[in-house]
This record gives sequence, C-alpha cells and structure tokens, in this order.
Amino acid sequence: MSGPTSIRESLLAGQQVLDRTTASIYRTQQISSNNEEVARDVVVDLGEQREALTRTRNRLRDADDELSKTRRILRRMAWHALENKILLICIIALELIIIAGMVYYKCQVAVVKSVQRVGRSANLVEKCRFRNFHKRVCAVTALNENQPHSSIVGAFGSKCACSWQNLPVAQNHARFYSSGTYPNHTKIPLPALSPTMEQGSIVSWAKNEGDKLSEGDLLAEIETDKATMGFETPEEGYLARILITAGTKDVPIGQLLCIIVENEADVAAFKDFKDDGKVVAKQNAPEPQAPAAAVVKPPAPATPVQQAKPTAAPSGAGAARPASSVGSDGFVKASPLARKMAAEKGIDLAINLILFVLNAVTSSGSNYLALQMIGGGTGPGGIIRAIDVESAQTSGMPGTVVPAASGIFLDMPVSSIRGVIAKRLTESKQTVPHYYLQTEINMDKVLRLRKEMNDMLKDEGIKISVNDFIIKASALALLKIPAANSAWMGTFIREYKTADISVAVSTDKGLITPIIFGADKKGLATIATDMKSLAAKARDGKLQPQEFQGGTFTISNLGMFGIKNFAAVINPPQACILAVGGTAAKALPDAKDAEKILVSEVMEVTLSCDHRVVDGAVGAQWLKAFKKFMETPSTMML
Amino acid sequence: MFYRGSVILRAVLPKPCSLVGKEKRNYATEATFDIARPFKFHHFPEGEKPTQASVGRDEALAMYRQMQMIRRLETAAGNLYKEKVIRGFCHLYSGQEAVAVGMRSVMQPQDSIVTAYRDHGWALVMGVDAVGVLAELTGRATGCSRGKGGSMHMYAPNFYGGNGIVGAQCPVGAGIAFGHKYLGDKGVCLTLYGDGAANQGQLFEAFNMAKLWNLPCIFICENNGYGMGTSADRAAASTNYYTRGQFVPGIWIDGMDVLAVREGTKLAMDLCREGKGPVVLEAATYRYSGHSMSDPGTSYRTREEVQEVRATRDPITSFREKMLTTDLASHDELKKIDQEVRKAIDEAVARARADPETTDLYGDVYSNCLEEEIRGTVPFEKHPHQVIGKPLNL
Repeated sequence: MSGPTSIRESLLAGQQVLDRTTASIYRTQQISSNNEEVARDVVVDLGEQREALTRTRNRLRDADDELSKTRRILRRMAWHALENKILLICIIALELIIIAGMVYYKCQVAVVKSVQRVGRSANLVEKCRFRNFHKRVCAVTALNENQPHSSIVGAFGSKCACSWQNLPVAQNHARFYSSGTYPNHTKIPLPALSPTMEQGSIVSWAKNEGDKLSEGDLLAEIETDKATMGFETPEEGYLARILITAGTKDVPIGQLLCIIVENEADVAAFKDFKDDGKVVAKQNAPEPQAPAAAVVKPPAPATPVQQAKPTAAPSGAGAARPASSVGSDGFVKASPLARKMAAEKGIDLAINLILFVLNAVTSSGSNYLALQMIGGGTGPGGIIRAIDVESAQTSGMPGTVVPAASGIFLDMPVSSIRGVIAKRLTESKQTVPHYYLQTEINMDKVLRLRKEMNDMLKDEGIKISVNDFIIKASALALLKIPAANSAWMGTFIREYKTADISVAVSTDKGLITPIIFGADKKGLATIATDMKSLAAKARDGKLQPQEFQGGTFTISNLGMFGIKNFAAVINPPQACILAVGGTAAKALPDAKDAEKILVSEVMEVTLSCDHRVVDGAVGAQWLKAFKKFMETPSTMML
Repeated sequence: MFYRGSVILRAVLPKPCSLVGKEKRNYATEATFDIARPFKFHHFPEGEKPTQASVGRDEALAMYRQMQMIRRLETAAGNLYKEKVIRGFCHLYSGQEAVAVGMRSVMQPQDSIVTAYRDHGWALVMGVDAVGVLAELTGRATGCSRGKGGSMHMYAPNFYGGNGIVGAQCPVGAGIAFGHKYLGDKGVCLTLYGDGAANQGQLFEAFNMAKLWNLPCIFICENNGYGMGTSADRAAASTNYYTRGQFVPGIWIDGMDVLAVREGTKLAMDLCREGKGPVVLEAATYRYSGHSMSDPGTSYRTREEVQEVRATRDPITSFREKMLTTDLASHDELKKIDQEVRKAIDEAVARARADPETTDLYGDVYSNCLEEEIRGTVPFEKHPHQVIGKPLNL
C-alpha cells in the first residue's frame, strides 16, 4: 500500500511544487508585465522629451533668423541715417547759397541806386537816361496801342527829364506827358482810403467821362474794408476815361482807376484807351534789372506743357518757349523779386503749379499763371522775372474778379445774380416768419388729363407738363383765397387782384424766377408755351427785368430730381411759396371700399407762408383749394 | 470877393494902352483893399485899427505862390498817402493857407513860431523846401528831420515844430516867448493851436503865466470849424475863441483873407513888441480835408458845405480874384506861377519817392546816451544808438 500511497504522495508533492512553480511563474509574469508597462512609460517619456528638444531647436533656429533680419534692418537704418545726414548738409549748403545770393542781390540794388544818384549830377548821363526813359514810355504806349513808336516826340515836356527817375519803377499817380497819340494826362490808381485797405469795390461814379473835375469834387464812391467812402478828385481837369466800371468788386490798390486830362479837348483821345494791365507797382520795390533793359512785354500767351498729359495743353496755345521754368525736381525757377512780388500779390508759384497739375484743364483765372509759369518766364533759361508775374497777374479776365486759388480750395467771385440771391434770401429767412404746411395730392386724374391733352396737341407741337397744371391750379387757388395772394409792405398789406406766378428756374448762373403773368386767365397751352420760352431765355441769361421782377406767388418744383418733399424760402415781398416734390405711386385705401387698396400717383407739396400776412388757417384753405383743383382738374374750368 | 467896391489904385504906371491891347499891358504896382470882414476885439487897447490893407505887386505874387505851393503840396501829400507811400499820421492844411502865409509876411527874422501837428504849410513858409517836407513825410533821409519825424515833427530855424500832442505846444510857445523877453531880442512867438485844443487846460495855464509876465506871445487859435470828428460849436461852450483869454486882449480875424491875417497879426505883434503882450488871436478858417487821413471829413458836415466854402471863401481863389480885378497881376502870370508850382511839387514828389530811406532812426535820441544800444518798438529789439548831429543848445 505504501507504494501507491507514496507515489501518490510524491505526486501530490510534485503537484504542489508544480502549483508553487506555476504561482511563482504567474508572479514572475505579473512582474514582467509590470516592468513592461514601466518600460513603455519610459519610452513615451523619452519620445516626449525628444519632441520638446526638437521644438526648442526649431525655436532657436527661428530666433536666429529673426536676429539676422534685425541685423539687416539695423544696417539699412544706419544707411538711411547716413543718407539723411548728407541731405541735410546739402540743404544747409543750398540755404547758404540762397542767402549769399540775396545779399548779392541787395548789394546790386544798392549799387544801381548809387549809380543813379551819380548819374543825376552828371549831365551827360542824365541825357542818356532821359532817352532810355523815353524809349520806355514809348514802349509802354506802344503796348497800349499795339502800334510801333520810334523817335523822340517833340512835344515831350522838359519835366520828363526831372521825373525820369521816378517813372521806371512806378506810374503811381504819375503825370504822363504827351507821347505818341496820347496828350498830357494823369493816371489815377485806386487809392487806399483807409490805412488798412488792400482792395476796394467801386460802388458808383459821381462823374462821367468828359465831365469837368474841380478840386474837392466827389469822383467816385469806393467801398473799403471798413466803409463806403467818397473819393475826391485828386487832380483838376477833365475825366477822360473810366477804366474800372461801377460795381467792380475787390480791385487791388494801385490798379488804374481812371485818367484825368488837363484840357477838355484831350478827352476824345482816350476814347479807346486800354489799361495795359499793369497793377501800379509798389514804389519801394525797384526793378533790379538795368533800367534800359526793362522793356515791358505783353502778357505771354499760354504755352503747351511738354511733360504734362496731352489734355493739360490748353487750346489756343502759343509757341513753346525754349526753356521751362520748372526744373525736373518741380522747383520753380524765378527771380527773387518775382518771388517777392508773387508772394505780395498772393500768387504762390508752387501752389499754383500743384493746382495746375491737379486740375490740368483750365485756361483762365489764376491758373493761367501756372500755365505761363510752366511755359517759362522771359528771363535766361526760362527764369520767371518780375515782369512775368506782373503780366500774369493781370492776364485774367479784364475788369472782373479773378478767382483766387490757394492750394486745396478755389475762391470764386460772387456774380451779381448770386449776390442778389444771397441778399434777398438771407433777408427773407431772417426777417420773414416762415411756417410750413404739407399735403399729398392724388395725381391720377391730372396725369390722365395731361396725357389726353398732349395726344390732342401733338400736331401743334405743344407739350403740357405737370408743372403747367400746378401753375394754373395755383393761380386759380389764389383767386379763391386772395389773402394768400398778397405781400407784406411794412406798413400795409397789399392784396393782388391778378395771379402772377413766379416759377423758379435753375440756370448755370443761379436761380431766377421768370413770371407767368395773369396765369389764372391763361389756358394750359399758353402757360406751357410761355414757360418754355421764359425758361429758355433764363438759361441764356436774356430775361428782361420786367420778366422776372414782380410776381405775387412762387412755385419751386424739384420733383424732376426725385425730391419727395422740401420747404422753400419765401421770395419777398410775396407771402407764399409752393415747394413741389416728385410724383410717386402709393398704395391708398379705396375711398369707396375700405377693404380695398388702390395704387395712385401721389405728389407731395409744401406751402411756405409768411405769418405776418397769411395765418395758418388761410394757408390751409389755400392748400385745400389747390388740392381740389389738382385732384379734380375739371373744376379748373368752372 | 469880399473887396468888391472901393478898390483904390494908388499908382498906375503908366496908363493901360488901349491900342496895343493885351500885348503891352502894364500892371498896378500896389493896390489897397477893404477888409471885408472887420476885426473883432476883446479888451484890446484903444487906438487906430486898420480897415484897409494895401499890398505891393511883388509881395502879392509871392504870397500867391506860397499859398499855391502849400495847396499843391498838401494835395500831393494826400495822394501819396492814398498810395500808401506816406504812412502813419498826416494832417493836411488845405484851406488854411492864408493863415500861415499872412502871418509869415509880417514876421521879423528874430520871431519864432510853434504849431500843432498840422504843420506842413508852416514848415514850407519857414524855409523848408518842398522836397524837405515831402521827403520827411515819406521817411527819406533828405526830409527836413532826416526822415525821423514824419508829418508832425518838422523843424526849421525859428520854427519850433509841429507837436503831436493836442495843445502841448501852447506852454512851449509861452516858454519861447519868455526866451525872447529874457534875451531882449524884441522877438514875438506865434503859438498856434486849433479850436479843439482851445478847450485844453494847459492853454489857460499858459495864458495865465504869459499875462502874468507880459510875454511877447500871440496865442493863435486856427478855428477851422471842426475838431476831430465834430464841429466846434458842439465841443466848446463858447466859440468866441478870441475872448477866451479872459484878461488877455483878443482879436478876431478872417483867416481866409491873407491880407486881413497880415494886418491883424501886425496889430497883435506891435502890441507884443511894446511889451503889452500876450494876445489871443482867432483866425476863422476852414479845412477842406478830414481831420487826418483816417477821417473822410464828411461824416459831420456835408460835402456841399465844403464845396460851398471852396466856391465862396477859398483863400487862394479870392486872393487871385482880387489881384485880377485890380490889375496887380495878369491871368497868364498867375497861370505861369501855377505851372511852376505844379512842376516844383511834381519834382519834389519824385524825389520824395526815390530818395534813400532814412537810416538815422536810432540816431540822436539822447544827447548823451549812457547805453550803447536802445530799444526799438519792442523791448527785445535793440539798436545801436548813433550820434549824428551836435545839439544846438548844449
């Protein structure tokens, strides 16, 4: 028994050993798996570390790039700094040269002056200068008359020899002795009637050409910067010629105003005298050039610009000058005196140049100067001389105000029509108590009627517009409500018996209001033809005063511009103005069936009333009547 | 015009020859005129008062030339001002010429005069030439004050100048008269002031001292009817300026009549030379232009009024008429003078424009300048002080 038992036992023991071994193997397996996990973690960690390292390396590389970039920028900056330094030195050198030039020029003037003084004592020199002076006077007159003069004229008075020193630089109030076709005369420039006056407007002339002038006589009324002052005649004699007509505004001091002669018989000689355009030069700015060489040239014709766009060349261009006054760097070549004079006269050469380049297309006003400047001056190498500035200054429209240009804006002169508009409407808006009434007008019937009528009138060439209906309806409404057809006259109210309708017409010069007289009595066809001819006249500026002065009521229609509604300014002394907006389709409830919607053509109108004359209820009544006439046009025939 | 009627020709040598007519006409060498607007007196010593004035041909022509010269010069100055060649102050004497010319004609070499800022005419009659006056106005070195003074500061020997302060010359005039008395040179000082300045307190102080010491001073009120901006009768409680010296003898003369001015001034001067001075003399005159260049002169009077005075009372035209009606001078002769005057002034204007500007602006400000530099119009602007001339009284 023991055998099998022991076997069994040993088997059991073996079994146990096996179990233990298995358990230990299992443990070992567990440990190894644990180890494996740890190793995996380590590997992951290592990978992460590698990535971090790579990133760091990349970052370092970027930093390196940036550093090199910065180095390049710094190097460039250093280079710029060097450039700037050189430029600065250049500018300083240039300024020094300019200062030296100015000093030299001043010295030259002094030398010329001293030479003149020496010349005064030397008889021979004086004679010589006397001749030069005469030549110059001849040149001036030749310019005036466009006629050549050559020899010394016998009638030349001995006074000339004494006053020659004075004349080359200025003709301020200077007496001119008979030269060529002009007898003795005195040129009267615009005076400074107040110490601060720079320019003046001629309000009126108290004397006519040919009138006798005695000492102390009022010659003209001149508006200065402060007040309107009487200008007393500075010379006795006869007024030969008025060169600046009454009403001319902003004339600079020194511009030739009129010519006075001693003898009545000489008046006729100046009948066709024309101002040579010289603004009488300031006495204290003598021409630096040698006096004999200073022959006045006529204003140079506009010359084409070589380097500018083709459109920039003005029409009617004269011969091109050999040299341009503008260097490739845009620097305007001009003599110091020319610059000074240009600055005094408000002509900024450079600004004008810029303006010219910007505008490029113009041929009048101050831009004309720019054209000339680019064309070139009369000096060597196209340098602009004082004489060019003088001639350019006055080559604008004669007798009118030249639009003053200054960089980014352009000052336009106020035309007389604009002046009137400004004055009257300012007065209206400031003194007339306005109030406004608005209403809508159903235009369906009017439009239908208009179409029918136009179809009928097609052969006659008459076309009735909506505006004609409005004129007619307004006129009839005015007869119905005469209180609206009246004017405030200060101490009384004038009620008109006829309806004269002023119709605002826009022209390129400004607003003007031709009148349809007795519009209540006129048929639509007559109104249409009248309106057509008046509007055409207005646009051509041919309206006679009686055609636009008066009127009892005004209509202003801006419907054609797509204006929905607006409020107009009353045209005094009238009491009302009707502002008409455009006609547009509008959905409206049907009057017969409230649940239905109808689409109608509707026009909005605004009546501006003067409350001193027309009270709110009166205005409303008028508008009601007007609305009725428009909405049921057949009532206009009743 | 005021001498219509009794024209007495004292000597007509020889008689006008009717056959030859215009060609060989001889003129009177002297003529006597009534003084149309008689003198008025205030506490004036009794004695014979002239009612007529006689004048020789040469003297009359000289007076006429002087008056025309002043008129023309003032017109030129007005024009230059309107061209902005003359800047600053400028008071014109047009219309008052007879006062300066009439008084100058009876002044003796030792007599002196001091006036206000309306002094161009006086500078001219006291020996400054037209260039001196006009160049002074335009600030040129050739001006009578070397271009430093301008309109209100012109001086000449025995002409103590214009004075820019209203009435300030009156005490100065009394002082000059005191000088005459002190030196015993029998000189008389003419102290001129306007109707505006006549209301100044310092004038009455001067009256008092002058009368207290019986100074040979003639206080002359040039009453041109208007002060700066208003008429005399709106500014003065009494416009009888010749009576306003109270205890000082007064005389009123027509300042538009050069001969009346001459006779009236002579009367006053004789009194002063006798040691019975001072005298207050009122010369009724008129100014055609505004008070200064900034006054148009038509805001307190009508243009018609000015034109009426020009037509009826003008000192030059009326004197011219007198000379013509008494054959003292011919029309052509006077026209020749007019042309010569015009030429002279035209030349002077040319000089006044062209002459070099003054460089003496900071010269002779002090007789003994303790600092090398003096300030300009602003304290930051320094200019070297120059010593150019020698002081006359040191």
